[in-house]
Amino acid sequence: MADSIVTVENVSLKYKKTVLTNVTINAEKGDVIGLLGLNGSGKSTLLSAIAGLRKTSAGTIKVNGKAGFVTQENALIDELTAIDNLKMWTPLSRQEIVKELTETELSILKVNDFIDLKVKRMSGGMKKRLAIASVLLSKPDILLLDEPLAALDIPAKNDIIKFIDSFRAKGGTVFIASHSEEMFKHCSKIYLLKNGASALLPSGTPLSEALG
Amino acid sequence: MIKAYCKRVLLFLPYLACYFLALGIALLSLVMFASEFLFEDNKDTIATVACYVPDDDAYNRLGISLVKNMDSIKNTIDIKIVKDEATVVDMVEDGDAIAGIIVPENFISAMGTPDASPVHVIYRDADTFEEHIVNDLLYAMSDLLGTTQASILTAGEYAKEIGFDASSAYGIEREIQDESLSYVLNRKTLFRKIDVDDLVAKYAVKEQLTASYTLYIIMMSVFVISFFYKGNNDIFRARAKLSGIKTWKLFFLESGCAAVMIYTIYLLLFICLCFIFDSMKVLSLITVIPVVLIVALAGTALCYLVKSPAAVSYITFGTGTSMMYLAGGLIPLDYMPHFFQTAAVYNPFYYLIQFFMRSMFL
Repeated sequence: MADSIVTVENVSLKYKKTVLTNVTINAEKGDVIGLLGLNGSGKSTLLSAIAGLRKTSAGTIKVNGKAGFVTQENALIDELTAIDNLKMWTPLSRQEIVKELTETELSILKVNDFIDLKVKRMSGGMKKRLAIASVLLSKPDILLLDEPLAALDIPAKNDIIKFIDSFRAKGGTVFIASHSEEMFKHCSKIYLLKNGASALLPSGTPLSEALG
Repeated sequence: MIKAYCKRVLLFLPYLACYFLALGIALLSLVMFASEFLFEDNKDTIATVACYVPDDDAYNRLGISLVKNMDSIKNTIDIKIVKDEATVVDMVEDGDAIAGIIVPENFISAMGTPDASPVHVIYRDADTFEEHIVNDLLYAMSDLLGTTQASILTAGEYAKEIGFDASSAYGIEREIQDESLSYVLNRKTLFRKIDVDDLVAKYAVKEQLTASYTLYIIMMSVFVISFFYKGNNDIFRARAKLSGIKTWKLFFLESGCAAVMIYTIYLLLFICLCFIFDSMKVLSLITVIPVVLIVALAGTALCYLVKSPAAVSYITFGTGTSMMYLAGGLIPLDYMPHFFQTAAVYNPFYYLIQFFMRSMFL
């Protein structure tokens, strides 16, 4: 537990109805945690709670480090360009940002290719890449990704998976809520969320079987 | 972040311009034609006004005759000259006259001196559609009566004096002109109203409508600006938190931007209204600031609480429109049932409209 970076202990959360019941998850440095579950099983709610956006009804969540949250919605401002969106969150100059985007692991996301494009003119894949890059500029220790591969084409999916592997290799911790079997191949632990409760899936369990 | 928001405000200006064109032009049209639809000739609703003039001299007779023949008066008001003050009061109390005018004795000769007495204008309680119109016309009529008398006096004195000595006539003319000028400038103090609490609210219908519609446009801009807010988005707040920016900082930054945008709308309205009203006050560009700040802060708070722009529109249109209506902001209170007139004094929007009108025109 020495390297434990996120500890979720017996967390329950009610929002009109009970969403999570006694969920316990432990993530260590370098882990890629997959959250598997049907629609409405509470995956996004759990990520929101870890990000500090929702208060739990019971239990504790301990996060040792900065958590960056990338969701299906995003925190981008449509009328601004990619570079303006990035500059909003960092004191870095345009040149320094471009250097980060081209010379670090962020280069995998290829954001520099559309840096002067307005967000409202971007495809879903571009927005997802930009949202991840925007979060990564603040050097988070933990990345919370909600459906990172949803509505992306194959090259975009490959780039995001490649990036997650790279982030993990540098010691980052990633939480992924997804339906994609392809995504879970890259996870070190997979938790199944069912009827609000969590269970650690033994490795090699077929996902379709786990979801019942 | 501040730079990014400044850029956003600039990018938002075309939307604001469209909003202004849509609602602002409607407002300006209403204001320009307010007189026509409020004071249209209506021969079926001629109201009687009792008038007592103690000094039966040429000046008074001519003045009254002029007033009676004004286009705006002759189709609306029947001026009945009565023998004494008591008759005026009786007629108003009995409902035989909708209002009365009592000119004091020696009104002309005392004009411009410390002994000058005001003309009394007596009203019944404002409870009918017609009376509202009469109130306004009566004010205009009284004003004209006094101004006419002063002009006649000036001309008469001048004519009398010029036959004797030209140089002294010029001196007297200057003296009388000064007196007349003082009279015109201070005419509001010469006319004392009775049974009317708020002179401005009664008379300045056009100004009041302008102020209330301007306020309405400012309030409704909360909906247009609701699309601007990002701080009401959980994910955006999470991103801000990651960069160490607290939610309250976002709130005030977005409120500030909203205030700038709302103020821009007011500025556009002000420029257009200056072409219509000579009485627009430049000072209102400052006095409007607290109102703009309150609307911006309340609007931002609403958008943060409600989050959905659609819900913000329901709330602003629903509450804003009904509150403005009940405060007499959309339709003058005199046109509304007595119950609404009584209830309006408990409505904060009523006072906000009054404040707005005073800051814009007085």
